[in-house]
Amino acid sequence: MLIGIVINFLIKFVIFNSVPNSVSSEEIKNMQLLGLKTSLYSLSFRWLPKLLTILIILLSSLLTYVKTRKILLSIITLIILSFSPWLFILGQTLNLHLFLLTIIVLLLISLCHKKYWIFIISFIFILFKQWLDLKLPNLQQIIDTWPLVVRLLDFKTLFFTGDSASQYLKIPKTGYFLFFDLIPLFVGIYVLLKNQNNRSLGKIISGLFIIGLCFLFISQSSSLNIYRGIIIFYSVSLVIAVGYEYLLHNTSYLLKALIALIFVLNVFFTYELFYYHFDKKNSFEWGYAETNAINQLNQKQIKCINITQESGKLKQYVDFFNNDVNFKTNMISNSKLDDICYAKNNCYCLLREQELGLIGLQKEDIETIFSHYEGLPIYFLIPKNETHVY
Amino acid sequence: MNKIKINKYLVLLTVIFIVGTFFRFYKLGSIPPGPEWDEASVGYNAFSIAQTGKDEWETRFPLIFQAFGDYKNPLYIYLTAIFIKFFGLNIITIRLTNVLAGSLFILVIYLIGSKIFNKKIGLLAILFLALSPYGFFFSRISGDGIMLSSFLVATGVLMEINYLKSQRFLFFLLSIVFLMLSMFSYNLGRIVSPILLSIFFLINILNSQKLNKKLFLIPLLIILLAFYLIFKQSSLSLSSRMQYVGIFGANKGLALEIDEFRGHDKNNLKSRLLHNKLTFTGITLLGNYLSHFSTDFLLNYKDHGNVSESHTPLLFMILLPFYYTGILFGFKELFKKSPKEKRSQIFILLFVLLIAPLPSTITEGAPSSKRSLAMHGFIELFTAFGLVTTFSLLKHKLKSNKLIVFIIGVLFAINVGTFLYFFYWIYPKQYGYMYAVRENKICEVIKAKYQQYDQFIFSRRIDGVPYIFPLFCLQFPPEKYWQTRQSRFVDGWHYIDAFDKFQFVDVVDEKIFDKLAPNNKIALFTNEEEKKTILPLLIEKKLISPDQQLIMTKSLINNPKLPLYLFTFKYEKKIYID
Repeated sequence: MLIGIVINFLIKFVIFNSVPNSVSSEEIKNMQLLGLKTSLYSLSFRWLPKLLTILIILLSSLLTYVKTRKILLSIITLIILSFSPWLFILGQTLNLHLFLLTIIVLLLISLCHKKYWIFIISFIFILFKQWLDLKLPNLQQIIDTWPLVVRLLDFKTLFFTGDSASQYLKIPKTGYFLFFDLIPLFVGIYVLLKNQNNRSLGKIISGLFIIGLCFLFISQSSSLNIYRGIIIFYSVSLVIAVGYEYLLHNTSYLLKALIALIFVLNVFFTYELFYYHFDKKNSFEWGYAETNAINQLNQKQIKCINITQESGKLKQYVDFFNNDVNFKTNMISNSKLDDICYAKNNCYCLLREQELGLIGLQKEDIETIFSHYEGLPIYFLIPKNETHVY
Repeated sequence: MNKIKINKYLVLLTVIFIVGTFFRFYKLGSIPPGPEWDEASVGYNAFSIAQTGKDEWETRFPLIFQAFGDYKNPLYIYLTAIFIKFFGLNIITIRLTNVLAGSLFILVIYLIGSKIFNKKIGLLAILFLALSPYGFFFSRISGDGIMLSSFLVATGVLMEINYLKSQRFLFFLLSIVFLMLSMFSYNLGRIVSPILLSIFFLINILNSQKLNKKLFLIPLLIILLAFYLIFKQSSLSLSSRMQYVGIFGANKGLALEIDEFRGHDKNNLKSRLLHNKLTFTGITLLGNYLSHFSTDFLLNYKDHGNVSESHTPLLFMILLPFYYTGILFGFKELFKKSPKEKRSQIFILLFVLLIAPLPSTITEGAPSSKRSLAMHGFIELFTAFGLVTTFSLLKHKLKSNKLIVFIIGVLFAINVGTFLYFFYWIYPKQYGYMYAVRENKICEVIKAKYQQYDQFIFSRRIDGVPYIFPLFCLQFPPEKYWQTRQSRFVDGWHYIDAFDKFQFVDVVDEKIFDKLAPNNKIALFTNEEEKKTILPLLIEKKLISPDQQLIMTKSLINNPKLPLYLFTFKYEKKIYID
């Protein structure tokens, strides 16, 4: 358990501490909701989800031990949940759904011997109703949500591609689970159906799966699928852990070594993708250009910038990080760009590419450009050129 | 008692067969509407073969049909040519081969099911098959010989099972012939059949007491001949299809993705080791393959590129759990202490089911219900096996077994009823536009007014291969077509610019006036954009009057998604002298 804690701390707080390298607008909304305040130069607000994830992992490990008295299964649960892409990515971003999952796991630990645990857990949905925007669906909503359930439980989605609708909350080229987890999933289902020893754990997993389905139906369709399916993913992870335990317990040493080797390679392949490619693939959603722009404008000691409606996202970041921002922003309309951007004052214009044409500039004319992490330009700082000829 | 039982099964078999056949034939000419592009091409090539023994490109009895440049497989076209010879060229005759294959499929699956499992499972399987939306849909369209190919694969499997039971060499020979024929019917056969043949050889050799020379030699000769024909004539077909639909290739998504990831790492050694064809292709292929067993695909909730295939699930929702349990019990049977012959047969069934998704796996946009049609029939067999085995296991545990069977029956009936209602009433209205609706409207006009006009013009904006529809609907004599045809061959595709009275342009704009002969009566078809370009010019040149304008700017089709306009005028060319 201690080793598990150390490994998790190492992974989450040391190795992958700086990925994602910026703050998403969803995180800003959540920080406002939670009353958190953070600095432009610090990602320490993510300690909260990371700690919650570690807590979930440790409690789950404990739960499987309590229910089965199998140390190996408990250790495997710890390892599987530590490296499960869905939980890992949720731990790397500030989101409210982790609180829900933590409470569910806490309740499971304390109530798993009682028959009514399902009702108690279902009851907490009422507590989270406001926060997570939960709503009892009508028949039409149930019919509309059904294809999503089917799509979410698709093997390709679960193990290979993930959900295309929430790309920015997934490791590139990875599903919600590692692709090698597919085999233990089948084995796990077989073991839970067949083996009497795992009956009580099987009941908890199936109960969680049903609760997960209910949660999916009562959550808003606008919510991301990784959030809507969080309880389902948790139950699937437990099945996978059971599968791994069976494979490691009932196979020869050679096979055990092979399984361990494939798992390690799979983890290495997946987390390389996360470490080196996640920010480059998703920097638009993670607001890299906005945080970078604010940072550089501060360094240039600019006192005032004009932006248009198109740069509303930047405004959101400026407002949130107002303690670190050394300049003020003015919203201007496109029709006044020509007059304002070339006016003789200290206020600079920060425009988008499509707005450059309105004042007769090309993007090649601009020296200071703020780009996404992978290099795609997004904001252009218009120079104060006194000699500009209309 | 035994006799009565046999009769009961026979009656049920007959009833299911008649129901399945009826639904496959009912309104065949109008649902789905058509012909669509491939159907028209298949139809005209078959017509040309029936009339002259040559295809539309004047090749005598070809082993591969060039058609639009997409190289169509020959078997379906030759079989269709026979029907056309007797019944003429129309939408029903071009769909007849597939619909017959789809109907006979029911009998083949019954025979497989009753031989390997029992008659009860055989009957249940064909009940699911007869009403399967998947089979239903692909039996009724003729674009390629997909259903035919799938039927031939299943018949090949049946023959192999017969061989294993009776050890009569003729059955093995027939198995080879059917599987070989499937390779000339649709591209799925070219991947599935060689694999099946290899495994059949292996099983037969392992099962035979002593090595039989004829077990090797005769089949080997047939296979060599078939492969010779395929590689000689149709390598073009496979390579041309793979270029378009395959996942491999320089400009395909996979290659671009590898480039992108390597670009992130400035193409360093680590990146080359991790992000290469082996890893990325492996992951993609594995994901593609597994998706064929996913709920999403089986229930057809996938976001289809091809809308025409949506709402036709491979399995009804109520049957899905039994399909999975069927596969599970299938594997269990393999490891049971049952006779070797029985295990071989179950192994063959499982093997077909497991390799059937391969043709679809290697293509972009996988899973594709069309390319994995070799699963058809075997899905139903395993579903029936799963259902029967599950209930026999639960027999002693469940008190209200009959009630559960009744509930499942009711839900199945609801599933079937909903699908039939959708297919016959909603589908033609909602998705009719997918079936060349504008082209068929143009055909109607051409048929009615062929004599009235000297030139018919329409563009590739309305249809990429416009020439095939006048050929099809006028049953245009092939010899006359060859004499008057003006064609180009660009990037592997044939472009027909004109034949007889018909002219096809890339776009209808002011340049078309150069193509008009003075004093000719012209029928010009346009889409919405082309109308906006050409209408002012026609008015300016005083070719149509304002009164005519009002009539002609009314779309021939009521569907706002697909407006079609017809401008008719007499072209009087005026010479202006500056």
